[in-house]
Amino acid sequence: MNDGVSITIDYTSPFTWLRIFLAISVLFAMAAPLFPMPTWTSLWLDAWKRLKRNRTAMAGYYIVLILTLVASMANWISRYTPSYQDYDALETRSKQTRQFAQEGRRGFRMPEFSEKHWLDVDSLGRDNYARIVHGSVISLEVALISQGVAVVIGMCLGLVAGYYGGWVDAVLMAITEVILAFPFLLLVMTIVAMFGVPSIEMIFVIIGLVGWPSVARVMRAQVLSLKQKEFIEAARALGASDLRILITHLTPNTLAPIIIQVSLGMAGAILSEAGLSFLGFGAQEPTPSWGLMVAKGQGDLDPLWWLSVFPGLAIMAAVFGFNLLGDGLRDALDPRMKS
Amino acid sequence: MLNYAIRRLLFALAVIWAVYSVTFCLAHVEMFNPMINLVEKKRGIPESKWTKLGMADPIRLMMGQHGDVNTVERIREERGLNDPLFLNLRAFRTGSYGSLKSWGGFFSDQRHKTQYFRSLFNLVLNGDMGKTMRKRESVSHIIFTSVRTTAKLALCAIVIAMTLGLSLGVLSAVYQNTWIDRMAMLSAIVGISVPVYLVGLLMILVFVKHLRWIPGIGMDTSILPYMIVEVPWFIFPPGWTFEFQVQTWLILPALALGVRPGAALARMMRTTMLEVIRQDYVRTARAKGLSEFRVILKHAARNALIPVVTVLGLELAMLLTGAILTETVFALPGLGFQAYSALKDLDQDLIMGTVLFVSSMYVLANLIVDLSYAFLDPRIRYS
Repeated sequence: MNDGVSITIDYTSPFTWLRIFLAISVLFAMAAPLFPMPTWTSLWLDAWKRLKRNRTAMAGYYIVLILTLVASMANWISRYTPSYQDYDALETRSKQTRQFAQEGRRGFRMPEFSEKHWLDVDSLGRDNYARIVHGSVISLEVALISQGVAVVIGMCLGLVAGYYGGWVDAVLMAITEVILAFPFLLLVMTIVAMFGVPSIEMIFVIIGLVGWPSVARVMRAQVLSLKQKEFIEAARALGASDLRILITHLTPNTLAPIIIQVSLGMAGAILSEAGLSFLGFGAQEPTPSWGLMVAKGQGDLDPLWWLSVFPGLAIMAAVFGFNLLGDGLRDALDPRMKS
Repeated sequence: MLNYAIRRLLFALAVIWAVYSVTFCLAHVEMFNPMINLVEKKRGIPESKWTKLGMADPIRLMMGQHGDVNTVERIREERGLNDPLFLNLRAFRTGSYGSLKSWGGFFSDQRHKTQYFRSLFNLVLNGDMGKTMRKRESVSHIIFTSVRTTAKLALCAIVIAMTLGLSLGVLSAVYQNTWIDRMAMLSAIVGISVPVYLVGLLMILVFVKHLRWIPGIGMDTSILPYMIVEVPWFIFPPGWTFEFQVQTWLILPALALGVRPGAALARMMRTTMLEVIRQDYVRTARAKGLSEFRVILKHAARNALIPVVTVLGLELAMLLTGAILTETVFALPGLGFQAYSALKDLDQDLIMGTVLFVSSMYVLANLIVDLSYAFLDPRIRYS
């Protein structure tokens, strides 16, 4: 029975099994560098070899995997639901605060961590550890969904603009230019404020809808250089249709820069969502979003600094992981750029 | 070159116009927002012409649920909210442009008596951006006063970022693959990853709450508006006194805001420096027997600066975005904070003013970066 205190896991739900499957695949991915390399080789295997040799990239790889593992196992590794409020813990903490003041101490205060609440409770008595753990789900979702939307739109429009050129290109690039003329966060904030603060899933989609121009630019630049190559000419000479050339010849050859762009874009998306939630234009209570937690803890900064600093560090760690991985992928997939 | 500059300028103006239109649509979407409508219904506000059409009534939102009907109607007339948004269909129906003889010119054409055209003409011809809903202050005045805060903040942040970024970038390129390089690049990636409000909160925690070096946050820390910093004797000749004022409100926000562009500049500078160091002319300079210091700073770093200018232009946009967060954390009444509070209050004219201003600044910065390319690097030719 779910009494709102501890998490009960519904093993009849397909999502539970999806999470278990995800966790197992993450464990495999963690062990992947130990697997023997196959005897044949390919572009992607070469890239993986180069990635394995790059220590900082592997650090990013493992940070991202740990984030995924935590997100998929969130219900298993936290004792409380993220919205359970423990008022007894609040009372204990206020006693400690009073004692701290009575002793006449000021300045740095050690965090009041207890066995019951590993990272203390927030100002409403909710377990901070559970909220940070469940916040990783939001962060991972925003990274995946927003970049998914951005990649689908950006790749399609970039392909079309680069391949057909002419007025199609001009119109699409003008749209890109206009969207890029807005500061990203301000545009998302305006959309969110004007349409009324939407659900968290809608915010993932909005971040993707505003973020596609950068993907489209990369894609267009790739297509512009690729369509002059001989293999495209050969395909056309063999009578391939435009659609076939776009899908089977051009798209696979543009994947490497897109992957780099996406992994760096994921870092940006996490940062944007956290910033939006921090300002109150993103996730709303009681969603356990890291940015929102920093904003809520901001008022208690003086004695209870750990309430806002730990979620902030979580944001930093996630973004750091994606940035490291993105840099590593750039070196691995595009060895010409490595100095 | 001149041809290119003019074309680029016209394109920038077109982009700003498009940005204006998008912002106008976004700022007026609010009226079609069923959520606000629901709020009105819940409050028991009687139906008006607007709410019957499924639109929220912005003046009602401003005047409160017991707003005087006559005043509401007067303000609505004054602000021209009874006019159509984009298209004056009535003008087509009455045939106000039936013959050339009766057409009294562009501005008296009934079709242009719409909210969109009026605010556009007001902006272009009079430089007037309207008044805020709540305080009825001039939007252009608000922008003019708040942009000074943001400009000071951004300028200091850019100076900090360039000092930090360029020196770190040059250092890590010169000492490539040593621990100096690794530490510098690791801190640069951390600097890119860290959210600006986390830096801000940590700084408030350490320098304001714990060490108490700075009296408080916000612009009116009435205790001491500035800090007098005395330059120590080992930097300045002894016997001379030299001190300068540092505005205390500016120190922490500028540092927090400068972290990210600084880190980005460091990474860019390292990459370009590594390319430049391998060039023939650097080898020639070394072969001439110039000191390493001179080679690096005069011959290499100068030429490495060109691509860095692009990053600087792009980082300016990030700076304006970051200013929203920084000004919220440090309670500074800058442009970012005005945009934030306008969006919180759903204040149409202020939203349009701030968003348009910030976006235009960004477009113009990009334009300047593009044009300065030609001056910095004569090899680049524009067709």
